[in-house]
Amino acid sequence: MKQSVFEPIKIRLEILKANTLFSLKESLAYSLNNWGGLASTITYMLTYLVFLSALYGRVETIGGYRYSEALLFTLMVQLNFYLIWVWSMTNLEKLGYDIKTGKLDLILSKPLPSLWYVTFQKINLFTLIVEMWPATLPLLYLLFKHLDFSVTPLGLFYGALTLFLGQIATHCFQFLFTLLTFWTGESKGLTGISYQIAFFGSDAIPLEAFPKPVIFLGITAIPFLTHTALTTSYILGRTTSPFYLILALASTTIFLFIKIKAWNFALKHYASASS
Amino acid sequence: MKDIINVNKLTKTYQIPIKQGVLKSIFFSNNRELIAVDKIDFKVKQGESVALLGPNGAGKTTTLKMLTGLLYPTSGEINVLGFTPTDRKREFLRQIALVMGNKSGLSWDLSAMQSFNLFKTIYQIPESTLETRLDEMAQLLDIRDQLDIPIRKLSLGQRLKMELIGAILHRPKLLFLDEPTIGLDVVSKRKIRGFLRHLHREEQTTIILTSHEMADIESVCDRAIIINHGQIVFDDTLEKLSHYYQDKKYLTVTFKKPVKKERLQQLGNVISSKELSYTLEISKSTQSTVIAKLAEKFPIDDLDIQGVPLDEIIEDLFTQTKLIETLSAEERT
Repeated sequence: MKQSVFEPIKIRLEILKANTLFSLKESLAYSLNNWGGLASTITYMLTYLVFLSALYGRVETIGGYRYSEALLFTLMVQLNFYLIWVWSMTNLEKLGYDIKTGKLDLILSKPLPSLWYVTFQKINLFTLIVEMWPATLPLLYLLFKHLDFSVTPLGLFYGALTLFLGQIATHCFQFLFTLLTFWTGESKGLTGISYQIAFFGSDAIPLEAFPKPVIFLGITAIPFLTHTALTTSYILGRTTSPFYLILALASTTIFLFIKIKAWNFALKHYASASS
Repeated sequence: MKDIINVNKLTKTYQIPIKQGVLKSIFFSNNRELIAVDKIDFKVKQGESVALLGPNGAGKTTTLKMLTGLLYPTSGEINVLGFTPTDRKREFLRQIALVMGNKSGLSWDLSAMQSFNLFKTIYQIPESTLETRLDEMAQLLDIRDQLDIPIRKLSLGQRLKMELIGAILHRPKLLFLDEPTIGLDVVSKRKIRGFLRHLHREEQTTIILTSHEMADIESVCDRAIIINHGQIVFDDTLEKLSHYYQDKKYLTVTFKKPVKKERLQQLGNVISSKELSYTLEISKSTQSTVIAKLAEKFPIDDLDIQGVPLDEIIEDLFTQTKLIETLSAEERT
C-alpha cells in the first residue's frame, strides 16, 4: 500500500502530541521538586531585576539600551532560555544519556522517525507554564510600568521569525556537540560548552554592542546572536533591514541539513553500550 | 516455512581504547581493533525459536544488535523479514520487538499503562485491540493489579513482565530477547518462560534469545547457535547438542551405610561425594554392568541416572571449540 505524502507529517505530529502529554505526566510525578524549581526561578528573576535596577540607577544606557529596552531584552532572554530548555536542552541531555547507557537501542528498535523522536522526546510544558510565567510576572510589570518605546507590526513579525530561527539554529549547533557522545561516550562537558557558546553574552549584551564581523559570525556559523539579540533589535526597531533575517534563515536551513546528515553518520558509528 | 533471517559472512569489529599514560589519555585516545563477530552465516525459519549462546564477549549480543539494525555490520550481509535492518524501515521495525533484561523502555516515573498508551500511538494500535491484548497478556503474567503503579515502585520481576508486555503489544513476528530473566527470582523466571512458550507456540512468534540461563533455553528454544570468539561453533537442535554427549552419564548412588570411595572409583570416575551419596561419571555402554556390580557388592538405597546437563555441554563447547569442529566434520562425511 502506497503511503500518503501526509503520512510522515501525521506520524510526527502524533508523536509530538503523545510525547508532550507523556512529558507532562512525568513532570507531575514529583510535585515537591516542581515547587522547588518555581521558587528557584522566582528568586533568580527578582535578584536580576534588583541588579538591573541598581545599574540603571547610575547610568542612562547600557550598550545603547535604556532601562525599558533592557527590560524587553531581559524578557527575550527569559523566553529564549525557557523555550530552549523546554524542547532542546532537555532532549539533548536525554540523548547524551541514552547514547551513553545504550538506552537509545530501545528507541532505534521502534518504528519511529528517530531524529524527530530524539529531538522532541521530552516537551516540558510544565516548566514553561508553571515555572516561567510566575517568574516573569514582576519583569512584565516593570516593563509595562516603564514602557517608553513603540513596536511596529513588521518589527514584531521580524522579531518572531528570528526568535523561531534562532531557536532552531541554536538547537542544531548544540545537537552537533551532543552527537560527539557517539564517539566520546559522555556528553555533559560537550553540552555544557555548546551551551556557553550558543548563549555567549546573550543575557547582557545587545546586538548593537558587537562589531559587524562578529554579528555576521553570530548569526551564521556560531548562532549566538540570532535567538535573543537580533530578535530584540528587530522588535525595538533598532534593526529594520531584512538582511540579517535572510542570513538567519539561510544559516538555519544549512544547520538543519547538517543536523540530519550528522545524525545518519553518527548512527553508523553507534556502538551501543554493552548490556 | 520460509527463512526470515538470512545472515551471510557477517562481521563486526569495534575500536577498543588502548591503555596509555594518564596525561596522554586526557586529550587523545588510541584504539585497537577487536573482532566481535567474525564472518558468521546462519538462517532462521519463520516460527523457529533460536538461542544465541556463548560466554561473555563471545559476540552474541553484537549479533542480536546487528539483526535489529542497531549496529551497522563492518562487512557481510543481513536480511531480516526481507529488509536490511540498518535501513530502519518503518515496516520492518513494526514487525520486530527487542527486550533487554537490563534496559528499560518504560518510563521510570509513570505507570506501565501510561507507557503502553504511548506505544499505542507509536505502533498505531487501535484502542479495542490494545485492551483485549493487555487483558490477555496481563492475565498470563499475573500482573493485572500492577498496571497502574509507577514503574519505579515495581519489583524487578514485575518490571520485566511489563517490559515484555510493552514489547509484544503490537504482535511482532520476530521477538529478540537479550537475557530476559537476568536477576529474577525462580518464580518470575518460570512465569516469563511460560509466557515466551505461549508466544512461540500459540502466536507462532519467531524468537531469538540470548541467555546464560540454561533453563530459559531448554524451555523456550528448539535450536541453539553457539558463538565463541565471534565464530559459530555449533548450530543445530538442542537434541543434537545433547546427542553428542549421550555416551556420558552421571550415576548418583545413595547407600544404606557408608562405603569407601576407592572401591567406587574402580567402577567409574567419582565426581562428587556426600556422606552416603556419590556421583559417578560412566559411559552409556557400561551403565548396566556398573549398576549390576553396584547392586551385587554395595548396600544400595537409591539410584539415579542422568544425561549431561545442557549448561555443562555448552561450557564444554566453549572450552573445546576444536572438538566440535571435528564432530561437525565427521558428521559431514
